[in-house]
Amino acid sequence: MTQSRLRTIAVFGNGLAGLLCAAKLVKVLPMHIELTYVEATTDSATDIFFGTTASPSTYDFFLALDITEPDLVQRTNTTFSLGTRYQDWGPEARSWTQSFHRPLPLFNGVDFHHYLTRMKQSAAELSDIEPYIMAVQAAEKSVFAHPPEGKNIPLKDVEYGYQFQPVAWRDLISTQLRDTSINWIKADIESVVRENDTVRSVKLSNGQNLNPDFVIDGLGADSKLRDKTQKFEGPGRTLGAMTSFIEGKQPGGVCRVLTGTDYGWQADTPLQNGMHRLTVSTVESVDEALNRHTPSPDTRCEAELGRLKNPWAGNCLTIGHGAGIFEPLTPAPIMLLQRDLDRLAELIPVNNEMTVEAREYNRRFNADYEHAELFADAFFVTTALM
Amino acid sequence: MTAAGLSNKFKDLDIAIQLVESDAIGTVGVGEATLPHIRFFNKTLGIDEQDFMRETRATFKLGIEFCDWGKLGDRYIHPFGDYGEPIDGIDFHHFWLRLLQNGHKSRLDDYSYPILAAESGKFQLPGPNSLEIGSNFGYAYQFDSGLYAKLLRRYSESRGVIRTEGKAVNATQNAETGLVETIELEDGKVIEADLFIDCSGFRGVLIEQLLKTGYEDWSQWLPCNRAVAVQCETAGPSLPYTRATARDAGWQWRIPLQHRTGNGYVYWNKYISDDEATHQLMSTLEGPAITEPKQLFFKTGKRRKLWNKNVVAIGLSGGFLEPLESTSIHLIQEGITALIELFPDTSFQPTDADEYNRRMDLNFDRVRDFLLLHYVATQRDDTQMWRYFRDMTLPESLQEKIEAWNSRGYLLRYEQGVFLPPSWVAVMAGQNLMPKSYDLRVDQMELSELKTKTDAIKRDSFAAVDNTPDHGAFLAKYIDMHPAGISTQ
Repeated sequence: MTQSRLRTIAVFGNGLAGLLCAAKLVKVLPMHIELTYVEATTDSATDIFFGTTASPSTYDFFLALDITEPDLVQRTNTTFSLGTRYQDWGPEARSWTQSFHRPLPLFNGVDFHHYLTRMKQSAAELSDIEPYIMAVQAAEKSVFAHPPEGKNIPLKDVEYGYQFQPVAWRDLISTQLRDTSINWIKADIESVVRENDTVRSVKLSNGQNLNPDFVIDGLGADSKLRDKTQKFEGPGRTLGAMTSFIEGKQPGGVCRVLTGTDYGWQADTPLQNGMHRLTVSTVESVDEALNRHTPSPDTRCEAELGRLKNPWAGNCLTIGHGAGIFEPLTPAPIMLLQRDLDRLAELIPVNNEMTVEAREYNRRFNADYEHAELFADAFFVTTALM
Repeated sequence: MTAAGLSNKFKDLDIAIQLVESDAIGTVGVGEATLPHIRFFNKTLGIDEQDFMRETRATFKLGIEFCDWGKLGDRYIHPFGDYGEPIDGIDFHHFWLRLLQNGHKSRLDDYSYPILAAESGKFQLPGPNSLEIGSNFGYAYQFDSGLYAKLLRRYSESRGVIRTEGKAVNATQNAETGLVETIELEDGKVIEADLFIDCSGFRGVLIEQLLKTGYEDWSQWLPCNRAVAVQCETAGPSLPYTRATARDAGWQWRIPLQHRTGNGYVYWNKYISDDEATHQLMSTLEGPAITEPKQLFFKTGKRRKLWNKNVVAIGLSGGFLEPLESTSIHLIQEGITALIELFPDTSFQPTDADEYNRRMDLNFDRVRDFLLLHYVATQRDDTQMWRYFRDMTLPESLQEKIEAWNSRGYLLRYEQGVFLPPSWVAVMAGQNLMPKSYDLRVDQMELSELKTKTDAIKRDSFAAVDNTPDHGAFLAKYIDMHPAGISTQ
């Protein structure tokens, strides 16, 4: 193949993933590459699978998009997050608070948890990890302060993320992006011309034909850009999710409460103007979840968990829920998206031969997902190990 | 090293450590140059740096100079430190590549303080601000490994390790579990233990001779299989770097210590005789030889399992990779660190050994790839050995790494592995493997602005070197020894 310099990128999106991707590329692309954002006429329903909490890495991620923390909390209903309170989890109905914090100290080069395990053998009551973590204590008391700098200040070990509503972040990014030089098209895809794994052209509902050098598909599982030969591989679980918003006047707490139930789980996330409720259930238990979810949900969707093995194939990269859907038990879904976009920025193809970029992107994508999947699996297997 | 590491970590525990050593078995005598990680090992043991340097006749090491590798007449230094500094979170070498591709030619080395300092024969300890030019580097040592072994033996014995002089001639295993239960020494003494650490060298007395663990032979990638080593008097000033010079059938090392210089020729006996290799080594010494040349035989590779049953192989018993990048001692350290982290109880859970082997396999694999890079990133085809490497099928892991670099200056990063991206940049760029492109994000900056920024980094690097003392003078003062004391006279 004759190599020619990459000149055009088109991002197709219908929600948070596509918008964040476009916003990221606007910040990092050199002038000679033309960027187009094609916004679908229908918003993604699966954005609620991005969850409601974001990790501490979000601060830097947004800053790189020129969105400062004051922007984030003043222009959306985002609140600070110190972690999640899990309650009634699993058959033993366990409860604990999982917070953001710097690693616990090493003593004599040995991880702190080994000492806790040792103490457990002599005095079980001393083995609880929560009293040693400042962020857990603050979360449980619903207090927050920015971690100060300084070596000997205990609060320095606290880290924080954000509690958010995907739709609020989507609107923020959309507004931000419209102020840039990006080509913005509102249209759906009519048809796609492919040649093996290369997307040659995309016909839009407004009659336009696009022939981008590089295509980014943020349209989710039903995208017409999807290469049908690619399998979506996962644990074979399909989940239902529903959300509603309960308005309130006072800014909420700094800790999401996630409660295990017979049908799945329910998370209440305090935001500035009220409580965001997310219920996730097995697809078989959706009716029961619906009965127990109050008030009536404003958004509902179902999604199969899993991921593509090669989200970047040919000249088309799939991002967001088309590439992988993750149960939003932890901040993992939004973390994974951020990492996907950071990785893309490092690997913007130089020309139309992008085998190296695709291979490396896919390698790191799979490593990230495998890591996150292991962590998520731990929520469901620990009881069996005890 | 293992006895010292374990005795330090387990000093307050009810674990008895016995060291079985034989003075009759000499040490190999390679591995006198090290990587920066050794400083952390010594620090963990509580060994004072100045005492250590005095006792092992050590010099500081800022990197390795490679001569004649990319092509005859080339030279470059692989430094222990970054090139320049990242700009907007992007590695510096991408900006350098852009400058280069736009006609602004300059040496990447000119943006590296440790290279410039090494080339000037200068050294100082890094300052507290590791982001500052002149402080953003690591350093290691070039030392007498025999003296280091003595220091560690003393250290271990002072912490309760019982040393037994002797050579293992027999061992017994539990009939049911296969765990090693005892070893018998030449004098008939029997030593029982729960865990055996086999540091018996190439022979692998327990890991191989007894347990028949098997050896993964990497000769198809790293075919050099012999070495001849000799010590000579030091000529000229004390140099803060090791030199590795490519030869017709291998390569030659030069490691300057305080009191002598270590030399050796690593070669593939298919293309040079032992006599000729010895002759070439002896005829290129920089000072009079002070020892007889010593012949070494090896096969590159590693044990199939470095932890098998209740035996852990550390050092040459676990594997051997030629000492081109001073990794021998580092791999020992990695083995000790992993063993301490995964220290078993007497039930010997397979998960501990599995994790240990997984980690060590990755360490060995990645060192192998890095060493092989030196042989394949070259335009040399002037001898049969160099032509052998031109036709080689590379391990996939290395092939992918080279392709990513060639295409866009991108460096594949892995969780495990001693050599970080700047090391790969050093060798690839140093051996003229130049990428076709670079990270496109660097095109956001105006070329003139980029030139101003990079010129400032270069200026600061040279200025920092100007303010750095001569290595010999610094060393003498540091170890509180008159400069005459570090001469060989």
